[in-house]
Amino acid sequence: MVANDTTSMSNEPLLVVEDLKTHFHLKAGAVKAVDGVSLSLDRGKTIGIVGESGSGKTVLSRTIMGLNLGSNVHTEGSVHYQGNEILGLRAKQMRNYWGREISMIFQDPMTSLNPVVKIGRQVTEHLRHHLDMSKAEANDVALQLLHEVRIPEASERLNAYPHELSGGMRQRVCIAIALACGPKLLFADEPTTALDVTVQHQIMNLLGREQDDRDMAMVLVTHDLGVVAGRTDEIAVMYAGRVVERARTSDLFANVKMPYTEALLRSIPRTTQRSHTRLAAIPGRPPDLIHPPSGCSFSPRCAYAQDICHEEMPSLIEAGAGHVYRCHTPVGSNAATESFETNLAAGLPQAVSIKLHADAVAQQEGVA
Amino acid sequence: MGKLIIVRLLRMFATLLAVSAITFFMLKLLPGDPINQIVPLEKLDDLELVAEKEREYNLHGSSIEQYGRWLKGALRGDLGKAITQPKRVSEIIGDRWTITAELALVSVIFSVLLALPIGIFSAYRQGRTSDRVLSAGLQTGLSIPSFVIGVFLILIFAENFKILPATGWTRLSDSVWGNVKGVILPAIALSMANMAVFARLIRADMIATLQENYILSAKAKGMSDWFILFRHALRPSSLSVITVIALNLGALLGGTVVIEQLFAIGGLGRQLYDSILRRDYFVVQGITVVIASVYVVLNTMVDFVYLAIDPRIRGGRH
Ligand SMILES: Nc1ncnc2c1ncn2[C@@H]1O[C@H](COP(=O)(O)OP(=O)(O)OP(=O)(O)O)[C@@H](O)[C@H]1O
Ligand code: SF4
Ligand SMILES: [Mg+2]
Repeated sequence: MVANDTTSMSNEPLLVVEDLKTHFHLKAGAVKAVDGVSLSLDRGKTIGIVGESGSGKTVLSRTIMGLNLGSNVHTEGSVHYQGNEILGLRAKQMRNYWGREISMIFQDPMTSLNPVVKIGRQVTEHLRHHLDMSKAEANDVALQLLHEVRIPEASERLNAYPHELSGGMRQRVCIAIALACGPKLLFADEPTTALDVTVQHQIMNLLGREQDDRDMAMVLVTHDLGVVAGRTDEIAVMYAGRVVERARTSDLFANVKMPYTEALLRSIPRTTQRSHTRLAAIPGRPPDLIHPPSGCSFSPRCAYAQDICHEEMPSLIEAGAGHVYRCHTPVGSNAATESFETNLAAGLPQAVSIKLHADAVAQQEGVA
Repeated sequence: MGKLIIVRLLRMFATLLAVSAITFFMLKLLPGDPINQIVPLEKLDDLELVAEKEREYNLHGSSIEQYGRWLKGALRGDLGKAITQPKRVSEIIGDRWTITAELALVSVIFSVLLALPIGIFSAYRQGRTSDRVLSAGLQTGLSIPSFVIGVFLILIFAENFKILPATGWTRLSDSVWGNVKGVILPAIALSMANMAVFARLIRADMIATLQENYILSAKAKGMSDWFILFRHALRPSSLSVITVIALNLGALLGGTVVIEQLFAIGGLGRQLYDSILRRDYFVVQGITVVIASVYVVLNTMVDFVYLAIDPRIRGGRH
């Protein structure tokens, strides 16, 4: 039995990922979707993985979970779960973890439930499979779960098909499914992106509550720093397949080092802002992962970029306890201010747009 | 849901009516007057005899009137008189249809039983060697005409091993074992091409289904591949193959002609062929209408199967 490793000490992290790489081999070359990611997660804690579309968040979580589909994929590095290496295990061995130790909630509840299978079976099938429950026992547990995730008329819902439920309800069903066998680690890959704003908060609160009740660790994947702000213990910011800044959540917001994190922060809609304030989209496009830019992968879009940025890939620098970042001239440093002024004077679009945004915010705060 | 069924049924009856009219009037358009087949050439001057025969064979009055009378008879199960034998058309069809229906049904069952595992397995192993080998095999199966397969089967199992009869048909009522032995070879010959079509359809739909997010969710729940294939992927992947199976069953009823000829089986197909050669106008008409109607009815049944398979088509909340 792999589930409970008695040899591992209980104060050791639940999950340790070291120098993980996931490359897809295409004719055009290798897509370096995940390129050397390290993280660790303690029992019951939450880490937020944040980054723009295409930064490799989904590929990272699926690689950790061993759910990478496709034969052209190449993985390297290590993933320890409760002290055991699980990277590279065959599907047959991973099935002991999937659903019962580690489970996942997907982005789109509209497509992640089987449209021709009743909710009841979808909530109970893995209970019966993993925990050897009888149909009646599994049904009782399913009812309990649906109550827990606040689905009204739970017993009728068991007999319904997915299309008879709203998006929010479906995501609640998906959460119930993911929680059913009592996993210790939950991946939530943009669990609210496909939902209405009002429903998003309910679902996030539900996840937080369940997590506390069950002492379950969570990897929360999102492109919105605002979502993870109050709900995570630690945040890892991803760019082009790498973690470019990682810190305890409060440290990160108090002391941003990496210009990309700063840019993400600027793109959070602030409740104090008037609705007509434009969000600062990050100028430029995410990099080509087959031929990434030389030097710092953010350099073509960075307002602080200087010559060294285009030549040398910054290494991971420690800023304090558990706070690391990759940048030659971190935000707030004199060098950063200097290169920003230089770039602004040269009319670099990303520098100009930051200036405009700052002016707009200042003006609004003055008016208010 | 109930309303949906009624609408489909009404549509089916309308189609049946149209099919019967089209068949009836198309045959009317053929050159030559059937009366020439009925009344010997030298007696065609005998107007009284001609008029009497015209009434007997429903050839009097306008075409519309003839169709009206024919339809009335058809609704009672009477499709008129045969010309070349002293029987009613419905009698002849009644005599023969069970043979063809059994042949068609057994061959479709053979093809489905073979196609399902092949299609599912190929989809599961998509792109690997086993899938490529199977796909190449299916391509071959598809391109060999049924009578060639029939000839080989006869050579091997009838001539060489002498375990199954080469020709002839034993009715189920006469001998169950004889009937089973007689149906095997022609049914296999008929089933190969369909099997290849079904298997390729299942494979293609299954591959598409396996890309769906809900398959990944099932995998992430730790369900076995076998469970995912059969309990999650098969049902949503079977809609198009079911349509094609039903349509093939209909097509087989008319399409067994060659095989019935090769194995000397006196089914509907052979009767149709003979009747065309002998210009037995009314038998041709009757068999054509029956085959077309079976086609239409099967099509409607497919719609009902859809309703059973895919809850989304049932529409609305309970
Ligand atoms: N099977 C694959 N073959 C080739 N490239 C792939 C494959 N899967 C993902 N990629 C590439 O890997 C990169 C990272 O994708 P990923 O889905 O992890 O991004 P993401 O951060 O989750 O973005 P999003 O916010 O849009 O979900 C993308 O550039 C994507 O095109
Ligand atoms: S300042 Fe240089 S190293 Fe830092 S993020 Fe910008 S481009 Fe990269
Ligand atoms: Mg993603």
